Amino acid sequence: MKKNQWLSVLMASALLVSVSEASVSAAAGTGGGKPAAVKSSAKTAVKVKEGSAALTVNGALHTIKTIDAGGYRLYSVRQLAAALDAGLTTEAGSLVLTDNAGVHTIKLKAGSKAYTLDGVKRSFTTAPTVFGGKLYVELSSTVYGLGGELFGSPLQILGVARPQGEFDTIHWTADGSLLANREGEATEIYKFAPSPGSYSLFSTDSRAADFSVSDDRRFGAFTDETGQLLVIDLISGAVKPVGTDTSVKTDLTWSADGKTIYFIQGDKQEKISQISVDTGTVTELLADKVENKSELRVSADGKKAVYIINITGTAKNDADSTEDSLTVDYSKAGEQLYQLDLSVKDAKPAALTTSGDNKLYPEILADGTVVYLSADPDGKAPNTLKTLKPGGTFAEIPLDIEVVWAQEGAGGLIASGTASDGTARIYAVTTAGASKELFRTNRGISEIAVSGDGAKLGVISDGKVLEIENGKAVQLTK
Amino acid sequence: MKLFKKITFTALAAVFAVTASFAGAASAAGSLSGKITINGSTALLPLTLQAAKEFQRLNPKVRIAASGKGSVTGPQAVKKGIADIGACDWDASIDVPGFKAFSGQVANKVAVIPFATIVNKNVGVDNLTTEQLRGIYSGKITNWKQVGGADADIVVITRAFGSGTRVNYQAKALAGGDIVKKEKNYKETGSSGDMKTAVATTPNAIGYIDLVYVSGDVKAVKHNGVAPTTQNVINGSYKVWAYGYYMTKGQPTGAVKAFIDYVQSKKFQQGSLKKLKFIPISAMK
Repeated sequence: MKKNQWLSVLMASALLVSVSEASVSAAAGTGGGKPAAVKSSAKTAVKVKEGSAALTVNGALHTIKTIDAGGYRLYSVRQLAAALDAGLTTEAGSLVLTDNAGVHTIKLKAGSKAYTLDGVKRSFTTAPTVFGGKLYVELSSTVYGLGGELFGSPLQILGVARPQGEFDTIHWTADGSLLANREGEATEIYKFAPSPGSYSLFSTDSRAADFSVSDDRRFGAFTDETGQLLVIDLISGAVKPVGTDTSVKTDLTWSADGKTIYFIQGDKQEKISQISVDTGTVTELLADKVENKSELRVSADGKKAVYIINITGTAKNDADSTEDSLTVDYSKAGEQLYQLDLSVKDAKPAALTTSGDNKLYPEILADGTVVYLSADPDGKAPNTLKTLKPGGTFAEIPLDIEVVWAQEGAGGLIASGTASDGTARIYAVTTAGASKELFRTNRGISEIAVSGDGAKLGVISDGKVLEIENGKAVQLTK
Repeated sequence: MKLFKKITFTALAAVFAVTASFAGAASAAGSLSGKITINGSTALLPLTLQAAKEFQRLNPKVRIAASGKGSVTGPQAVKKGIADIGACDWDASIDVPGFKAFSGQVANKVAVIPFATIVNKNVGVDNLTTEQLRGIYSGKITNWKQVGGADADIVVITRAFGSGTRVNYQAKALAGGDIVKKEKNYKETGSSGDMKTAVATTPNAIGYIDLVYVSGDVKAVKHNGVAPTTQNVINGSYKVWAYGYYMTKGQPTGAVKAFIDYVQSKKFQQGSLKKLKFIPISAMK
């Protein structure tokens, strides 16, 4: 390349004249089709340095030519458009960039800071500049204008920006995607492919804001405000009713084969029932008139159910409900675990616990061991995972975290909690009690979903959706 | 599967990838502990227990012990200091017919509770007006044929004095009319469940109940020609409903406040509360 070279370009309004580093100036053109010219000896001359940048665009590495001018780095518009899979055309003397989905359009002219984004006037900090016969543009304005996103160091670019907001309610699907609900006035369930920037709005059905997922991650079950049970296909999003029963149903739990959904039934959660997904037939499994059942779990072989009864306090008063006569005894209030043998008709439930600790997240492991989180309501002892072997022996699973959550998964248990250094950690725990750390972070963890094969975790951390595999987290939202 | 537990953090960096070795200063949150005691409305008890279960996932060390004995016992228990929260089907911080205000207590709205007139399934009547209901509960109307039904004595089932359901039913369905105790064909029940059982098992019976408890073993009748449905409550055509309250001694603080905040949260109101067939407080304009 030569110094002081005069250039003309099609859209041209400005140019830089330089070798790899030279003093030049950029000036806006007058339009009208006449090429503009700039001399390197102009008073506003700036040094230009030609180079290249390695950018990861949509997960693939691209080398894109750059120029540094006036303190700003500009990027080859053709290479950038190609990397983003964006359209690049000319129209009435302007260069037109269109994103892959055809949603956003940038119209710009070389040498002009003014441009339009989706028809709205905008302004670049540095005008698009011609150098060496190529047009260079600002990176961030171009990427964001086309609906993309830049982040991280080293810099990474997404052709489609990750959705922004606070997310909750995360689930895996059979096709390896994650579903998560964006918090807000309206329900917005997004479906995320493993690579960032690849997502779609899956459902806006407020009834499906949360659901119980089948073991094969193919379907989710939920009820609406009438008590009607519905099933959503987690691949297609199609929703269909199951049966016609409209009694109150909570704690929906799928059978391992996906043909049956177990649930706590009744306005006082007094029954345990099941419904056939195919026929909608409801069958009562337990109607012992004991109220306030919850946290129903059914073993993989369908032979055993474990649930919690929330035992209420006892209030007494006289027939006139006088204040003086009122007494309330809370001494026996709290949660107790019960077990029901589903393989025996009309079996009576058996109490598994009598202790005064808080009990959460009961699970039945493959060997029949019942696991639950035990918390001290007096706040004096850390939360622990307790096991109850089929023979009736209690034990604790030793972990170096204060456990706050546990779920059956990966052939054993997935548990999370807070370590003494303040980090939040997730462990895989075998039925024998051996543990392996899967992930740790100094951020908050609010929800965890385990993939069907147990190899991946979906995590909501500080409202953001993370996919975790082999200890590495990919943030799918911002 | 929800963890629910929130852990606050002190360091935050907007990074794309973090690894298992990523460590830093974080502090445990959800560190509330202690006991929250709740007594009162049996109608609100299922909602309270469901919320307690979910709140406990956020705060495993918090024990929430609840009991139900009728609405008036809610603010009474708060006043006596034997409960932190009094679940009540009316705003007990102000005077209502039959009950003086509980001074110093704060009413925290938690749900909209529709009430329905129910009859035994053998009763042929499908609609009753306010005047007809006033006649039945005052004892002036004693036979179903007087309101378009078969020739059979009406068996009146009512909730005992102190019931929030009774207070609201008298105020809304009976327009302030009396419920007069009778020597025969009259029964008082102590809870919503007992009311439903009594009406379901007593031929020619009439009673009233929270809409959430209406099921196939009883028949809900229209009130002034309007069916008792959630939609009709929300659109304003069905008038027999009330707010449910958590009464507290002064403004709630600490774990009690956190629990009430959770019950009032969009997540609970639009989620579990609706699935239990209550109506979110935000639905009423």
